[in-house]
Amino acid sequence: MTYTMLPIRVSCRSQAVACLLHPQQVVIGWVHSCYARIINVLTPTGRFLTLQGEGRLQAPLALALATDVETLGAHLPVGTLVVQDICAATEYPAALRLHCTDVPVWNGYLPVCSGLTPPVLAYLATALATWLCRYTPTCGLAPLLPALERGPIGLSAICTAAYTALAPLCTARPMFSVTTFLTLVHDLVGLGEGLTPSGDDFLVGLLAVLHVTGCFPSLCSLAVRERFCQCVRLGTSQLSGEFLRCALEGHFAEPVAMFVRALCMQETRVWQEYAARLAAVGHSSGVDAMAGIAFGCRLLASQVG
Amino acid sequence: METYARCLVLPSTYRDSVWLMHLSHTLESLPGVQKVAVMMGTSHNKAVLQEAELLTTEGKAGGANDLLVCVQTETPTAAAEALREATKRVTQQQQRQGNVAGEAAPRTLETALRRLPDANLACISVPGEYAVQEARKALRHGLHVFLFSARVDLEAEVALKHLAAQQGLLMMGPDCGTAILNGVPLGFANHLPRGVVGLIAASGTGLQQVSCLLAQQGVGVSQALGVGGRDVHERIGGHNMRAALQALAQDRDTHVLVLIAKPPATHVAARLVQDAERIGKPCVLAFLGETAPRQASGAVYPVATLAQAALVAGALARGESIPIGESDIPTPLTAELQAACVALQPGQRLVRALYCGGTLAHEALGLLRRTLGTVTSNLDHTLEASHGATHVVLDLGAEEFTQARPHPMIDPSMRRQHLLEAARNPAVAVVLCDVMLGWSAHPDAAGVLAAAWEEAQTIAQAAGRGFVGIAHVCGAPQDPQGFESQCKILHNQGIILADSNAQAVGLAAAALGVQVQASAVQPLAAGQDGRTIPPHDQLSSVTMPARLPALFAAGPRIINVGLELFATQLAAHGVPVVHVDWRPPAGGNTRLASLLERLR
Repeated sequence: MTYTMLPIRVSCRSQAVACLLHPQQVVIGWVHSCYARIINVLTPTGRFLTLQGEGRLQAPLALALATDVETLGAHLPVGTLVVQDICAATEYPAALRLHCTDVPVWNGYLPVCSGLTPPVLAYLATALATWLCRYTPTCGLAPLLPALERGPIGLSAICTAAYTALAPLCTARPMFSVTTFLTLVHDLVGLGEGLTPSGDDFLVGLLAVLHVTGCFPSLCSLAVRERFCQCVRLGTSQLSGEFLRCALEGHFAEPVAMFVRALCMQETRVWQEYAARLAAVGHSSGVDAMAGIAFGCRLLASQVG
Repeated sequence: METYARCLVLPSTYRDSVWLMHLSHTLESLPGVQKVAVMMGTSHNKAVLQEAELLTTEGKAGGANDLLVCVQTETPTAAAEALREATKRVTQQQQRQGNVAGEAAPRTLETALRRLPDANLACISVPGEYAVQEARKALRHGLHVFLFSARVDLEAEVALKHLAAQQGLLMMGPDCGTAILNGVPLGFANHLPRGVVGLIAASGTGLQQVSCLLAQQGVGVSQALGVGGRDVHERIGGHNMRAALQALAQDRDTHVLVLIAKPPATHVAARLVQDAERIGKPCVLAFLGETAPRQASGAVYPVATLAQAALVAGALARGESIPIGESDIPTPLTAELQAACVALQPGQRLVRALYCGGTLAHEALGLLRRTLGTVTSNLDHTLEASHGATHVVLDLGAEEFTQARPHPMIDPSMRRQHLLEAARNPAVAVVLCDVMLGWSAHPDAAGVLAAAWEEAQTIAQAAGRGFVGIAHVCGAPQDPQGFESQCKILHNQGIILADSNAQAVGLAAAALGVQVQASAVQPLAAGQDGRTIPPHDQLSSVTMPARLPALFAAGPRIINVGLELFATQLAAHGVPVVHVDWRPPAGGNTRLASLLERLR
């Protein structure tokens, strides 16, 4: 079912979307799914864009619309054509026209941050793990962090599976290599509850640490990227896979990026504020990402040290 | 023990994580369900499910973009029922989302306000730990608040009421069970005629009792405002009751006022009496359970029971003389009671009162103690210290009975086990019950009680004894359950029906050969009541919430946050209402939610 609708103004979009969407590109994609306050749009090239209401960008490929997205989503059947509100799109039978010109861009890219020495990373790992144990001790993969210190007692099936993958890296401390990275991806991708499984969120956190510490380029050749993408394609849902692909490219949702930037600044009150906000994302997604960040900091601290 | 695993595969189904967790918790709570997993069908997840013996052949066929709902149950029927429930919930959401003519329920108060920008009241019934935040948000958006939620910290209540006062708004609650605005019932309220009596209550079922007894007399209600059980606490100072009193004093449709509360703190009571004397309208004070009888002065009429409050207010509304003293139990009821007592055996000498309504239980406890001496109850924690053979009054709506289950006014079935226990006790002579009717209450509360009563009688008869059942149906003639038919159901079971709660207590005492002592109205000249008047500086002035007259004039336009039942009820009354599909913030992590709130 298609019907015309007035153009909707996009109030903000992420840098990753800006790179993906050419100003004269007519078709943005088709509505893939709607839930809560999110509309997912599948692009012709197989990427997933997230349409949301105004506020923090909840996905790396996100567009904030200046409208009530909950109501809009209720009017958009799956498969609805989504186009840009440009002259060339006039004749398209689209139900959703997005006015994307002159839209502020939010940059969710995480560049390398200087000063993340092994002692700093070790400190950040401990501080974050302590925060998670205090505020979200039973949420998602948070129980993993103390378990990696004291042993896998009383863990859920999901945490146990993750523990099995991560514990050898903590005990044997092998050099963090391409093989280690791909093994982790293989073992964690698609693992756990939630729309974006916990293992995927954990990997997003780990990737964020690899980016800000500058470890990533040496790890990630084209071949590794291809194997990563294949693993993701086969191992998890399309939507969650999109988050992972963006993380591989260095692009993150706003709550993740803001938290990591604040953590790197090492101002406790500031990063704890962003931690609280990130922890509230999804049922356990934010916590899982922070568990990945804490684990990544710990791993790299011990490696370099 | 043998177990059964079943999997439901929902192809290409995306739901947010919070919804998935809710589904998981809902299925776990179903009878016979042992384990539940709701996950995307990724390879790793299927391995975990296999390990947990939750994966079936159907589940194995699911892919990474499919949602798997896996259950392990005690019986095949329980498994089928759980998957049927899952399918129903998924379908319901799809219908809501796919219905292009309709709208998905908003998830936040802010979104709801965009749908109903001229809303003027928020009805909040989320769990207590989240209620403060929602109420604060509503007040900051300029909405009056009906806060049904209980378990709100006293200091938080003070802060909310202070914020409301600053904004010129009325905060009804927390723990506000009922209110009626311009004839619109909020929470548990009855179908009442409009009229000239304004009710202000720090007690939900107390307000219901008085308003229903007025309706039985053909007297209607102008406005009924709940203020929450703790409003008359020393720390709150009766602030909202006093503010509501000012508002109804100026309301042209209100000619008579009734204040209802459990005994207020001494200074709060004095302030309320002084305010009541100054408003220029007759005011009935029903401060239940006060040990010393309060005396009337001027146009203020203290009463000892809810029934007296309704009688006096009714007479004032009709311009008749004030009835003095307790009305006697009608002869037919006395005869009915005598006939029922024939089945009692020597040694049956105790009363068991099993209440759904908290204030009715409180009233019964006070009256029975004055008459029968030692009566234990969960209301004042005397039950734990008792050594068995005492009269007992139970408030089944109290926290200890309602953990993880609905209030007995919504689901009165929990009374059954207490009733059966009473039937097995050879010392119990009388069982006293209330049946609460009205909007949002159980559709057939009398039927539920009658069925349990039949079982209980069978148990007692098998032991060679009977016992007397006395009930009061708290309802108005036009209530949706049908007042007459509900009474008939109980009458057919041989339960004696009292006209009021106080009369029911009187009948219970009479069954044991004792007469209830309740204070009656004793009008005296002003200044002779000997009450404690606080120093002048303690009489802080309370003004009418500035935006309340606008609410009365326009009628309520409501954002409902919490129980959908209330939104349905409001919509049925033609009230503009938007229901918020509320979920706990921070995934239900109260500590984190509180931290987030502090950071805002």
